[in-house]
Amino acid sequence: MPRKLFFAFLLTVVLGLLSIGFGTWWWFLVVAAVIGFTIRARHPSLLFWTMLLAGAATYAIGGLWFSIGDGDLPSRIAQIFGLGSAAVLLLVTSIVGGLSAALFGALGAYLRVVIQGKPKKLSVETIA
Amino acid sequence: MSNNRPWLKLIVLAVLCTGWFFLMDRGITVGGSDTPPLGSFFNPFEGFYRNNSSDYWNKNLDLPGLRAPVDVYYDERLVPHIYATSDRDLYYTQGYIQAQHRLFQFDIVSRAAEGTLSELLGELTVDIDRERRRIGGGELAAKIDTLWQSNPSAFQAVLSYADGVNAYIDQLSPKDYPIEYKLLNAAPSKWSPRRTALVAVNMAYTLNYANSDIQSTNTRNLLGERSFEFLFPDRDPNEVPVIPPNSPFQSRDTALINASEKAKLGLSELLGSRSSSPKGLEGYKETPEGIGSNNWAIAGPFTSTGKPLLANDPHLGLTLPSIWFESELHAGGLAVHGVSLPGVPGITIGFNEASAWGVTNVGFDVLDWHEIEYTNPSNTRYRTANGRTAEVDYRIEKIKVRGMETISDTVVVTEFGPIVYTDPEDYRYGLAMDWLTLKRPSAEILETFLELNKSKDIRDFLGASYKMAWPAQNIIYANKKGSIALRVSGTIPRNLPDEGKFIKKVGEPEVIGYLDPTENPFAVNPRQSFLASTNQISTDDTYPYDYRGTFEHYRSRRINALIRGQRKSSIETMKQFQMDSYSVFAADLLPILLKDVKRDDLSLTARGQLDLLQEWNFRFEHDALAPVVFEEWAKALRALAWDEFEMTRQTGRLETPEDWRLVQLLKNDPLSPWFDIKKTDKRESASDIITAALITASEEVQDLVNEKEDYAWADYNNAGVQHYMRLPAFSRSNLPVSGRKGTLNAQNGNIGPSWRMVVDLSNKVGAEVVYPGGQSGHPGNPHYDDMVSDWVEGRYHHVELQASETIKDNKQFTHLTFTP
Repeated sequence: MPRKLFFAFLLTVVLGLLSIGFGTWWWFLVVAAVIGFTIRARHPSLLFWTMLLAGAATYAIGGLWFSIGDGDLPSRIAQIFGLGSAAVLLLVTSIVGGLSAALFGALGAYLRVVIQGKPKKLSVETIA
Repeated sequence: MSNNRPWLKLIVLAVLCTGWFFLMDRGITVGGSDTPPLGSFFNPFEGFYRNNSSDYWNKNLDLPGLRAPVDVYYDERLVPHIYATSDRDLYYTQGYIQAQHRLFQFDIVSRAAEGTLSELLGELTVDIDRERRRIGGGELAAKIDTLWQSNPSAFQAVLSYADGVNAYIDQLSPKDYPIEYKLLNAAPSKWSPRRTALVAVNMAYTLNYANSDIQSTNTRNLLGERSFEFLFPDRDPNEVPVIPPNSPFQSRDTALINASEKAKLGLSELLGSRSSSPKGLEGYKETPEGIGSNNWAIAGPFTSTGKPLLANDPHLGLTLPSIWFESELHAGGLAVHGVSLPGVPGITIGFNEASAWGVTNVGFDVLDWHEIEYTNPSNTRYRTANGRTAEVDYRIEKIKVRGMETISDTVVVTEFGPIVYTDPEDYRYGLAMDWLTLKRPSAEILETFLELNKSKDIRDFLGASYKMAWPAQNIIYANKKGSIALRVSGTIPRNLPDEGKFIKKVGEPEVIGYLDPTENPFAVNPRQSFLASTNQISTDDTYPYDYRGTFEHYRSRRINALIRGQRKSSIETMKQFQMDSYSVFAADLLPILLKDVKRDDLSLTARGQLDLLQEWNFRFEHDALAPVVFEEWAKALRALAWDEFEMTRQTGRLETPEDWRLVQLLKNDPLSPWFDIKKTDKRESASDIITAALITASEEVQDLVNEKEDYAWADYNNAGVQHYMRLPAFSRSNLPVSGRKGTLNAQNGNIGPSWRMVVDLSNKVGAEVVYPGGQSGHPGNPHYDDMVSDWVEGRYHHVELQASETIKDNKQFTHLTFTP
C-alpha cells in the first residue's frame, strides 16, 4: 500500500474514532470526505478501497470495544434483525462504517480532482 | 466512465452519497417493520453497542437537586441501599436510581394507563389506547394528582421522586437513551406526579377490572334464571375463606342488612332480568385469566424461630424488566427493604426493622355495566338512574399514532360513566362503565404504603390499612412483637345480593355508597395462629354484607392444609410452599375420572396415558407428561360437559361454570342432563363424556409427543417472561417451571409469581427473596435477567436491613456518594 494510502487509513481510523466517539454519526462522513479531499490521491479508486477498509476497521474497533464485558446486547440485537449472531452483526456494522468512509472519502477525492486536476506523481511524493 | 471526466464520477458519487446519507439518517423498512435510523444505530459510540455497558449506573454522581449528600450501596444483585438524611432526598434519589435502571418501563406503563402507547409503538396498540381513553385513565390520574396536592406528605414524596426521575432524564443525551428508545427512534418524556398516578391506575386496571357481567347476562338470558342459579352458585362449600370462619364482624348498617334480607326473598330475580344480550361489542377484551397471589403469616408458636413468619408472592404478568424493583431505603428513622413499582416512591411489599407486610388481590367485582336507554332517535338523550332524561356529554380523544394520522375517538359520557363498548350492528346499544376506581379516585393509596414502610405495630398497620380507599387488597401483616393480622383493605361498595352481577338497567333496585372502613373484614391474632389469602372468598356467610367477585378455590385449601400439617413451619418450609406444584383441583377431579372411565372403550394409547395418570402424584412438575394428559383430559371434558355454552352471534359471549362446580356435579349427579351431548341422539352420562374426553385428549397428547419425544408440562405451559415490546430477543421463554394456575406456584404462561418473599421476624429481621428478572431494565446488562434461573429453580437470596455504620465496611457492596 502506498504510504499516502496507509496514512489515509490511519488518519481515518484515528479521526473516525474521535468523531464518532465525541460527535454524531455523520461527523464520520465529514471526516472521510475531508481526508479524501486533503490526501490528494493519484488514484481515487484505490482511496475508495482504502477508506472502505479504514471505515470498517473504525466501526469494528468501536463495536468490539463495547462488546468486551459481560453484556450480551449485540447477540440480542442480532436476533432482532435476523442476523444470527453477534459476529454477523459486527460484520454488518463494519460494512456500514466501511461504505460510509469509502463513499464520502471518494467524494472528497474527486472533488479535489475536479477543482485542482489530477495530481502529478512528483507532487504526490512532495506532499507525502 | 472516462478518466478524463472526473466531474461525471463526482456527480455519480454525490448522488450515491446523498442516497447513503438519507438511508442512514432515516432507516429502512424490513419485513413490514421500520428500522431505526441506521447511521446513529450502527455508530458504536451512539447506537446499540453503547447500551452494552454494564456500569452505566456509576458514571454521574452530581445531583444538584439534592440538599445533602446521599450514600448508595449496590449489592451483588444491583439492589441499591439508599441512605439519605431526609425523606425528600431519599425519594429524589430513589426516583433518580429507578429511572437509571428502568426508564423505558416507566414510560410504557404510564402510557398504557393513559392511552398514549400508539404515539410510541404505532398502530399495533391503537385498540388498547382507544379502550384506555374511553375508560378515562388519564383523567383519573389527573384527579389523583390534584388530590395529592392537598396531602403534604404524599405530595412531597411523589414530587421529590419525579424531580429525581427528571434529573436523570435531563442528564441524558440521545446516545445514552435506553435501547428501546433507540430501536423506536424516540425520546423519553418528562416525569410528573400525574405519571406516578398513572402507574397506580395501570395496576388498578390489572387487579380490579375483572368482571363477568356481560357474560353472566348472556348466559342467564340463554339458560334462564333457574339453570343459571344451579350452575353458578355463589359459594363453593369446600373453600376456606380469607378471614377464619366465625370471626366477629362489625355491622352497623342495619338498613342495608334488612334490604339484603328482603332481596334474598325474591327481589334479586329482578336484577339484570330485563337486560338484553350484547351481541358483538366493538373492542371488547376478556379479562385476562390467572392473575392472583398468595400471602400468609404464621404466628410464633407454630414457627421454628418462635417468631412470626410472613410470605407473599403476587402473581402478575411476568415482564422483562420485572414489574418490581428491589431497594432498601434509609432516612430519618425509616429503614425498609422490599420492592416497589417503578414509577412509584417508597416500598410496596417488604419489611422494616419491626414489621413485614404483603398484598394479594381481593377480587371483588367493583365494575358494573349500565345498558344505556336512549330516549331520542339521535342518541343524544338517555334515561338517568332516577328516571329523568339527560343529555349525554362528549369527550374527544385524539390518539396520536406513530407513522400515521392522528385518530379521533368521540367518547360518550353519561352519569353512569363513559360508554366504553357499543354494538357495531346496533347503534342504539351502548354499555356505560361504572368502575369504583374511576368513581372514587383516591390519593391515599400511596400514603397507605408509605405508612406501612414505617409501621411498628398493629395500630400502625390498621391506621395505614384504613387509609386505603381503593378497590380492596388483602394486606397481611406480622411484627416482631408476635402479632399477625390481615385486613381486606379498601373501599367495599354497599350491595344488594347479586347487584351488579348482570348488566344493569335503569329502574333496577340498587344501593348507593360504601361500607364504613370499620366494617371491612379483618382478623388479628386468630386462634388458628395463622392467616392466609390466595384470592379466595373473603369471609364465610356470617359476614353481614353482600359482595361478589371472582374468587380462587383451590390454593386456599392447599395452603391451609400445608400450614396445618406442619408442627413448626420454618423459612425452608415456607419456601417449599411457595414452590408447591400440587393441584387440589387434580386431586379432586382425577379420582372421579379414573373411577368412571370405561377402560374397555379406550385405545391402546389412551390406556397407556391412563396408566400414567394412575401413578401421578397430582404435581405439575415441569418434566412430567402426566400433567399434560390431565390438563388435556380436563379441557376436553369441559368442552363436552358445557357444549350448551357455544358462543354464537345470537348468544354473545358466555360464561361457563367453574371447575369446582363441574367436579361437584360429576361426583354427586353423574346422570345430570348437563352431561348429555347436544349433537348426539344418545343420552350421555358423566361416564360417557369422561371416556370420550380421554379419547380426544389422548390423541392430542400423542400428537404432541410425536412432535417432541420428551414432551412435558414445561412445553405445554410455555412459561416465560416477556419484554414490554414483545421482542423475543429481550424475553425468556420455555422456562422449566413446575406449577399451573390453581397451584400455589401458580404459573400460567406469562403469568406467575412476580416476587417471592419470606420474612423471618426474629430479633434480626431478614428475608429470602427472588423475582423472575433482574434489577437492570437494560437488556445489555448482566443484571437484566440474572435472577430468572434462580426463580425457576427456587433459589432465594437472603437480605437483611443494613445499618449505615456496618454497610460502609462491607466489601460486597459498591459505594457511591451522590452530592448536591
